[in-house]
Amino acid sequence: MRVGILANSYLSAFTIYRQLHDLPDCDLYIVLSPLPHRSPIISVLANFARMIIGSLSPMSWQLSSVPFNRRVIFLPHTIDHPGSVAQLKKLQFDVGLHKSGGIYRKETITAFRLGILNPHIGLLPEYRGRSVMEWSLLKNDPVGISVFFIDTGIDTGEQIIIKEQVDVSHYTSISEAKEFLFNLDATFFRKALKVLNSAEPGFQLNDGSGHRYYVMSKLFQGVVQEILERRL
Amino acid sequence: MCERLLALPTSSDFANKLNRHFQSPNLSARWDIPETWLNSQQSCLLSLQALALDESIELSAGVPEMPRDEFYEILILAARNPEQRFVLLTTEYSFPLNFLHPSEEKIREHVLERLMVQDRAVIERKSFGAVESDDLFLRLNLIAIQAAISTDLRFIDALNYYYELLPSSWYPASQHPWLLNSFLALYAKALTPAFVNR
Repeated sequence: MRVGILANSYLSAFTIYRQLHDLPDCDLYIVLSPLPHRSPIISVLANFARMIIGSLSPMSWQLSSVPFNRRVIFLPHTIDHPGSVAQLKKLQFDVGLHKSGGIYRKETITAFRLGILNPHIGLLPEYRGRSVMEWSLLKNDPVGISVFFIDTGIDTGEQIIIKEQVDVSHYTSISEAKEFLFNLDATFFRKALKVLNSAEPGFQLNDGSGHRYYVMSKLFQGVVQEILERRL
Repeated sequence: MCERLLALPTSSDFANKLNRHFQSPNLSARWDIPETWLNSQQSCLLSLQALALDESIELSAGVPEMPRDEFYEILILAARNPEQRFVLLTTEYSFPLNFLHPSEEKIREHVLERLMVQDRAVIERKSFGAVESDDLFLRLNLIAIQAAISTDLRFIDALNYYYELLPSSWYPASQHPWLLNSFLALYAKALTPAFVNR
């Protein structure tokens, strides 16, 4: 399976690469594209500098040589640019792993044979949108992560490859608990890719039965903070 | 909340009346949620003022102006045209409690989404002056009405969010600036436990 990690920053992509490169039957690449508001040249230069610094850091030769063995692909335009889409199609990826800052147009998503996976820090279909960890805690529901194939909507992609509850009761602040969940992205990508590589990959349906949530007020965040502190 | 409301300019008769009303608000007042579509004998804006003041509204049985899917589609098309949306909403909700009707679920979700995504982003990036304030506060008035009866906390939290975002010294320079006063009054009612007859 050909898999592309879609990112704007080499370092964030490499974090994923490091934890997935040993997956069997998985041909892994890093695909870097500039952010919409950033100059492509500056973006390429910044990522090139990060690659050089990264390759000098103490780690196995196999990993530090990633930039030099054609595992890193630079897209000269933003990910949704027609030129980028054409290049992605030529690369014939099966799956993309979402690690960039933006949302994708349909043409970009369909450039991947199966689609682009997103590790969402909420349990779908119930919790779509923003601040879903906080909303789950406020409503005394389980917290968790869902990896699903995205579509052009907000967490509305129909195929959930894996979803699991995650315990955040050992954290006393919202930011720490969220960081913990975000840092599990590679772990959950790994689980999802294993499912997709299995003999009979199944999926759960994201049927739109939940609600879309929005950024939470400071007032309610204070309540969630108290809930976390009381749970410890 | 009441202190902030009382500190607002009282440049209209309604704002003056609301100010006097909230010196000792009647928190025992109740709304009855309509089971059918009702028409108000007065405009949406006057009905909103009456709801904020706990005054009665003369009603008659009615039907919506248009099929709900059609109204939803028109509202979506007006998403980038605040003046048109203001007219659409005020025409459709001459009796604002019709916004609570089960048939309005998709419309409520759309109104909430626009407030919490697009409008919020513009206000946070620029200021309240960057959005059309009559349209913004009309929708916040409607969401406050929904928040008062709903157990879905997303609606009351949209009001919390805007209350936190709103500079205390800012007042709209628009045709209906009093919509800010009524928004705060309806928000206060939404925060009052058991305000509504369920």
